[in-house]
Amino acid sequence: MFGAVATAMTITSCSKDKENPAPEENLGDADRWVTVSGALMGTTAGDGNGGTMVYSVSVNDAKNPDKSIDVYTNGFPVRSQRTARLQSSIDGSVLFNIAYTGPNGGEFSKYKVNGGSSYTELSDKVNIANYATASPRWVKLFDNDQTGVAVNVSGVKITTEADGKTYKYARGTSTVLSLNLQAAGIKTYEQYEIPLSAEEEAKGFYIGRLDGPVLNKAGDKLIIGASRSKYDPATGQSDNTGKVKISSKSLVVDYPSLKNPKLISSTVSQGNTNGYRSFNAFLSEDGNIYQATQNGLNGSHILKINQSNEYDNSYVFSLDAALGVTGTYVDAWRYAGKGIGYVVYSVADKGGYIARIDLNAKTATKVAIPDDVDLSFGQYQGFVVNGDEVFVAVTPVGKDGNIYIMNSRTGALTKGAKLINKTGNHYIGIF
Amino acid sequence: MRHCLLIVLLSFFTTIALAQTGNISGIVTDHHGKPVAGAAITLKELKRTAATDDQGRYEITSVTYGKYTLMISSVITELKSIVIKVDEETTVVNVHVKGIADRELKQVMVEGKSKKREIETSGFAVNVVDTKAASLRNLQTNELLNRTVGVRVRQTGGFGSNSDYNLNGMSGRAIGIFIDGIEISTYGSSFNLNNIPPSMIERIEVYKGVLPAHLSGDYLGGGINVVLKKGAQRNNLTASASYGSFNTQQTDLSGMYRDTKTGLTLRGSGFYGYSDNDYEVWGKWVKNQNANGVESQTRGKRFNDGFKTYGGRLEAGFTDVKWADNFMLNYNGSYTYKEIQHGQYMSVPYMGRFSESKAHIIGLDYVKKDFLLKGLKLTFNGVYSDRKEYLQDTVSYRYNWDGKPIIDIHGKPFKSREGAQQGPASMADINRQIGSLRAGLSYNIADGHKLVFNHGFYTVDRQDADQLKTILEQMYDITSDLTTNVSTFTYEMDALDNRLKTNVFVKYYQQNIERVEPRAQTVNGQTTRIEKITKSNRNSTGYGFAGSYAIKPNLVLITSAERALRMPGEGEVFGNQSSNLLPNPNIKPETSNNFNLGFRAGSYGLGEHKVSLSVSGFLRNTQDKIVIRSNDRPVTVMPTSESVNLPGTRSIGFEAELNYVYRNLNVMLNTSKFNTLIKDEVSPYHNKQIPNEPFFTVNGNAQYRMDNVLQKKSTLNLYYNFGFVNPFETTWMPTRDNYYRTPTQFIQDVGASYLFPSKKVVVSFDAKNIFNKEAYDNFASQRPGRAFYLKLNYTINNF
Repeated sequence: MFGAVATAMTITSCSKDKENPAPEENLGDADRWVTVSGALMGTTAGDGNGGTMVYSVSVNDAKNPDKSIDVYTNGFPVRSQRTARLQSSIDGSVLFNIAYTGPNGGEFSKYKVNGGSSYTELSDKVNIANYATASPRWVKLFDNDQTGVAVNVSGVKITTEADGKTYKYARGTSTVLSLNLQAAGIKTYEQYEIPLSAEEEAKGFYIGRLDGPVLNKAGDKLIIGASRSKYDPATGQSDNTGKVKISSKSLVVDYPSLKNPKLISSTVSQGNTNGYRSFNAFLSEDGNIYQATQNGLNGSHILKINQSNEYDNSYVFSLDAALGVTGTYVDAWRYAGKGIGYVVYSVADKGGYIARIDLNAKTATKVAIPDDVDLSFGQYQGFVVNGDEVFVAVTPVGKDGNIYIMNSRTGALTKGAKLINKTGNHYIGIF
Repeated sequence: MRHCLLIVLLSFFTTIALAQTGNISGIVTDHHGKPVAGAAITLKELKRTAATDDQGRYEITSVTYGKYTLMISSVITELKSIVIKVDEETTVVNVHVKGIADRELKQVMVEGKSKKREIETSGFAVNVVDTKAASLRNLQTNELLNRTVGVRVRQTGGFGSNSDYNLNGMSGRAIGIFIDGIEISTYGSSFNLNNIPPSMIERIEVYKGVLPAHLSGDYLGGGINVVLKKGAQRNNLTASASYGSFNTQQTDLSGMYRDTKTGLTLRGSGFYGYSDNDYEVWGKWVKNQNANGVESQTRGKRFNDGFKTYGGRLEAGFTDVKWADNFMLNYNGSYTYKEIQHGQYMSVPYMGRFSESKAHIIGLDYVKKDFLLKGLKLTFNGVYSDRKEYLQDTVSYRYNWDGKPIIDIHGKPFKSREGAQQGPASMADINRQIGSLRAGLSYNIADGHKLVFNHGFYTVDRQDADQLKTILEQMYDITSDLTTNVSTFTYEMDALDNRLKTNVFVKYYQQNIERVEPRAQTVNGQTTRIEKITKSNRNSTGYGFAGSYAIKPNLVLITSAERALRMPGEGEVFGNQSSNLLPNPNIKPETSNNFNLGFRAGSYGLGEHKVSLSVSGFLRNTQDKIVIRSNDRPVTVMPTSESVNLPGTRSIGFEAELNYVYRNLNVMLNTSKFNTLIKDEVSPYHNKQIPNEPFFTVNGNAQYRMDNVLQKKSTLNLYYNFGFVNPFETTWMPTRDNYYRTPTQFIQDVGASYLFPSKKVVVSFDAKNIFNKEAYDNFASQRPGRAFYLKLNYTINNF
């Protein structure tokens, strides 16, 4: 399935290990390309609004700390007015992009990865702007690179009572669209107005964004993360104070028809479940879906959605508790298999950190990347999982950094290739 | 409507009785038989003056039959006067004058200059656009400006579309646009350079970088002052009608009457314009979408781009009377209807989105020389304007470039994700009441020394309402008022027999924005609306200098410098929905150190060949430069833009204009080239060229005059024009395939106009963009291809 040669190494050792054999080491695909992406600044340092550059190297070069990669000088510019929203095929040979805003916003394109700055743009263009606006949020499903799912909420409108002055509710139109990644084209799409509960709506809440869709084990439902926005019912103006919170929610729709939308709620967290520019929920081998939250009352949680497509409220995994800090915020994360994941996060809106999490033990261990005040994973998009190894790009804004390779099986951390940076820019992903 | 207007016009012509007046014209030549340019021809008894052109030609029209003394004065000739008699329709008086030596430069130099030359050698970096020839042709005022050196007019589409002006690399609100010295925003979007016909305009002055005191405003890139026709001396009636491609129609009518005994002066003008603007577009952004999202490149005719405008101006008052040199009351009414075909980019064609605007304006002009004491001159200009704008966007279906709804994958027509074409459905009214006052006092301390004080006051009260918003939202919407004051103190000096002219000035700017933010507060258990008022007061001082020195009569050095600044405008702070501009309350004022240095040389003769040249270099050192950046931050993203501060930029460039005359051939070439670089050490764009500015342009035009074609006493003029724009990047984004770079543009136009022997009728034909090339002022927003226009002008000068 990985189109790769998985090398198994037999470990011969003393007899006491035989009852508890070490898991087999999986080195993944040694011949694949690893694409590094960097975001150019727009008007202010770190805003990433100046576009996206990419550059690809071999797995070995990515792991070699003596190698240097400079996407800003040598890279290939991906066409997108703001940070491109990239996804890659499992084997790293194709990049998928949907341009975010600009004259070609909503345009889906594929690039064949040829190594270095050589990327070949493939065949027809598909534009999903009419379906999901020029700024769609999308990820690919873990279905062998067959499908991408783009989601969007638009046209949010306030409805009042007949007197025109008494706030009733605000709702927008939610769009869920499936995209054929192979023969570029739209598979199908559905649109719905998704009401919150009457009590939640009376407080001014509405579904503001959708993002981070994931396919369940049975392959018959999509679970889509949601953020809640709020109006002040007294004035009809936006309320961004964040003083009042309601329970975390996800949208569940039938797959592949995308019909029958239904909201599910968690009692564990009050955070949003849509993530930002990247995956936010993963299907584990145990058949459950694990989803990160952002902006909750007590830092980020990892929530569990069971095979009945409902939140398992008995599963409580608080990142604040596991790390012993207050105000964790998961910018992005990646499930690496066998209950292990890596989260990149900030604490009390500061810094950029990585933790190795164990979903079964509900524990988290900080990964020892160098601390830096200018490090932030706020726009982080991409990790490569290659066998046991998880690749991450770590660069503080405007400073050089490195690729780091984290072994999900052993927990080991190794420093990979050097990433050359430029003023105001930062690296935002590995694909 | 338009047909009625034509009939009215035509019936006018047939009923007007002609009075007993005639025209005087002729050629002034020196003792070598060479034509004398720039000589002043004065009818002593009537105090009427005309200047000779490059061919030595002059004309004085509408002279009542009688005997007069004709005086001819010039820098390079001796004063000469002759007695003439006017007793027929056309009196030709050719005059030979004797040349004098250069050193005898006298006051006559000033008199001998045409208004154009007088302004252009005043020290300011200024070009004067003469509208006389253009008013007879199928030219829009904006096109005329676009051909002027250092000026780039950037329109989003065809006739009537939004336009922005770029002067030497500065644009947006850095550039002041004035009508008779009053800020154009006072007149609203229904009366602007898009629809004011050149025939209503006397001349257009384009000031680069440094604005003279009488154009008071916080504009740091310079300004464009449109001087409407005055011509208080002669009675006339002019009418024209034109028709052309894309069902474009324009009609205008103007007339003027002055009673010589009482000084009572009446002036009126009206215009009507219409265009479907249904020209074809085929640029790379023009794509149709299939149900499965696959895009295909296409060609399409614009289907929601119609434009209609009409308006008029009436003036009544007294000129050259004891108590006033000029006292005029005026009313100005105008209306425009404009459909909006797309947002910032052509990617999504809109259906049904349109804006309407109208304005009623009353004004008072007063000028009195020797006011209270000798040498003291008072000018006053007051305008009150009631402006209304309406924007409607209610069509919820999406359209392809074939004008048909897009069908989705389920076979149904697509609904827009946002509710309407560009965002939520909207029926928005913006009303503004604007007061604009300008007063000036100037005093001649001694010969050649003048003190000038000017004050400009501008206040706007704005109300917004959207019928599709809930009452609740509207109750709590933010509103704002803006007031600006600019005071200017100037000292002008003419020395060394007028060869040196200097102008030193200080400007004091003051701006007040009052922002009313309604809030809900619970009082005794009741939700009550209270208003939180925030005031923003800003003031600042700028200063500058302008000077010119005539090394020789035909070689003048010109320099000017200013520390200019401008406060963020109402639109930049609060946004403007109809031009897709979002608010930015944190925008800071922009300052700039501007410097211009140049010369005007000519004209130099070599036999029948005559050449004149002007070259000028400029520097603009800007801090907190306010630029429009395409904006895509909001969650519901549509192509919009917002104003932002860039930390610093420096623009260095030059412009040059060359005129060549050989017999009946007149050729003009101009070029402008500059680099506007980011000057911000911490930015990765440090020392990089700012995108989306056309930084290298060349314009050229040629005119060839043929007399006595087909009929005796007729004149045929042939015109050729080209405009070149070098490719430029439109975004910061790096691309391998220059995806966001504009193509090289080289657009060519030809035209002809024929003056019938009666001198009353002119017929003009123009063919624009004759090779049907892709033309862009703003990238991703294509302008019209090949187009043809025909125009008929009728002028009566004698009644």
